[in-house]
Amino acid sequence: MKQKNKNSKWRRLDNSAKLFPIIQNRKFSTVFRLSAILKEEINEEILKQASKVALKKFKFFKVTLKKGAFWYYFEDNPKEIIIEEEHNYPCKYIDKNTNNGYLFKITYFKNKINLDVFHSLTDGNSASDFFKEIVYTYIELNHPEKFVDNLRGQKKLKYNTEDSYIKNYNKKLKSNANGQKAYILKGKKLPLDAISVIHEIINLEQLKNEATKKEATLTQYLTSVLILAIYKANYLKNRSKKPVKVCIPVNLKKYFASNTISNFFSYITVVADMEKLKTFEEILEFVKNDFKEKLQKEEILKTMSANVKLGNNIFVRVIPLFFKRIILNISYLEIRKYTTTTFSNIGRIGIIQEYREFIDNFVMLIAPESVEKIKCSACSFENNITFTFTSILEDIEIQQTFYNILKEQGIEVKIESNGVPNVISRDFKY
Amino acid sequence: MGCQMLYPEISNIKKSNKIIKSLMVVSVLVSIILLILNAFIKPQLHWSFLFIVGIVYIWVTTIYSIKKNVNIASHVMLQMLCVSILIVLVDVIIGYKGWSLIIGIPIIVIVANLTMLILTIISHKKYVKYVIYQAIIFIFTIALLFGILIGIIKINILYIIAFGIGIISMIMSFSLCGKQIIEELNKRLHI
Repeated sequence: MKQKNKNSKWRRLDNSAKLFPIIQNRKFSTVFRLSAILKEEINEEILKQASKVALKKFKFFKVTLKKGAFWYYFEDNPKEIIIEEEHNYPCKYIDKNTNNGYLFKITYFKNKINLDVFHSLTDGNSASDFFKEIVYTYIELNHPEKFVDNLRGQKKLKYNTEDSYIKNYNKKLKSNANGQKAYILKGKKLPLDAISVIHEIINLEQLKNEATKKEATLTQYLTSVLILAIYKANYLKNRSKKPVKVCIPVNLKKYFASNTISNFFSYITVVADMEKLKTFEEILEFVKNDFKEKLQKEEILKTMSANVKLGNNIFVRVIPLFFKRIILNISYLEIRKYTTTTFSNIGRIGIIQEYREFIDNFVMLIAPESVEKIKCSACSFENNITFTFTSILEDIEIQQTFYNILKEQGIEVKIESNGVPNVISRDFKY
Repeated sequence: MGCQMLYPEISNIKKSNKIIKSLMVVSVLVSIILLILNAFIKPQLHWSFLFIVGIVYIWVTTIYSIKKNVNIASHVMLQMLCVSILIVLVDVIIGYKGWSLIIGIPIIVIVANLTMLILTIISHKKYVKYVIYQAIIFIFTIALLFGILIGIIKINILYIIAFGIGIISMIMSFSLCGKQIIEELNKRLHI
């Protein structure tokens, strides 16, 4: 399908984005967050100015979501963005009626700037470009004396909103989906829709050394630690025979040429049979091989093509939106049972040297939900990689075990949290 | 460990939701009490249904109105549909005499179409945002014509006025912003 409406004031949603507004609700927000922790307290007025400037460059994000008869679509949003102090849990549903229609929300708290993004708008990689633009501009406006010379140049951003899925998928490929249901994390949920956040700030150099010794990448290594933590802290108590399945989002721009600012990601699913894997070494060996096999371009293309074919099917397309909502919400209740958790690593947040002295750290968070009760994310900055658990469970044993495994391997880890549940400071043994 | 360093302490953010939920529970309880009372007091007349229909109508309107940034034309459309259903139900509950179809609905349709006509004239630049709702109002008007053709509704002067105003309103909209209307429909109906 061609993009017909390049210059008009509305645009279609990309193939991944189509799904999110249909299945989202207050308890399943499909929102992720990027936060920058600066070394100074945030000034709301300057943040507002910086956001406006950044939005002028990233005008593709200046949209609102509208309901059509068959699909949702984006329409230009002439309203001002709202900047406010953080007063809710992270990654909560973005109510566009209280956010001037925007699909992202910028908030701040003390030294921290947050960008919460509804996944329909874009993926983590493009969102991080937009977020970096806000942070750069904020620092420039707050310290004009230090940024007299234009350090970032006036290069026009080379972005478009093409649906790169449609451009790159292959109709003839068959799906490679694994049909086995996943082990679902068990435990008592937090009251009042609360979300617990635990950041495990890991020494990057030490982690790299450990991973290199075992010929693994950082993502493979952390995935293995995560699987072992789930096994020890949750799986063993519940005597399941289902595999632990970890969904790992993959940035497709590494595999296909694309300048799109819309979503362009796929995923691989690591299926760990815990009847066979008991030790960290066994899990790591398995994860390395599974990554090697599934990160082949052909395999990624199979997953991507299966999803595109479904969204592009004429019979699916002509179902009125009202019925799509009913059908997809029922099917998605089932589909979600095929993943234990998601771990998204957006990698290094590259910041220009002159700006680094103002920034302490970056963190990323993904919204947990009733089936994937814990979700994990990571990003690195300077000599830290921050692995974040967002959870709706009261129990923090997985997070604690993850921490212990890294410590046992001689890797330094610091903990930050949002204090939910309030037993963290009492019970977290470190 | 740096608890509360990066995040604010969250106060009870669910308060307003709780108020709405409590009021809903109260509405359901009141409805049940009315149904029980109706079983003892004048059971031959279903007066409690009148109250229940009224409560449902109030809730639909309230929940819709709570949403900010709701398009004014969507209010016109929603009220046209809800009030039409409401008066038909009231007519049926008090022993169907047909007044809802003979007088009620055509008057509602006339008012809805007149409102859209006025909106077209006074704010035709914004009108493109209203067009999808105008189209639904127009389809509802035409559906009444279909009702007349198959004999469910008896035609009278009010219906003729309603169709006339509906058609004038649509023609007016197309002549003022036909191109934008086609673009709007293209946008809303893309597959």
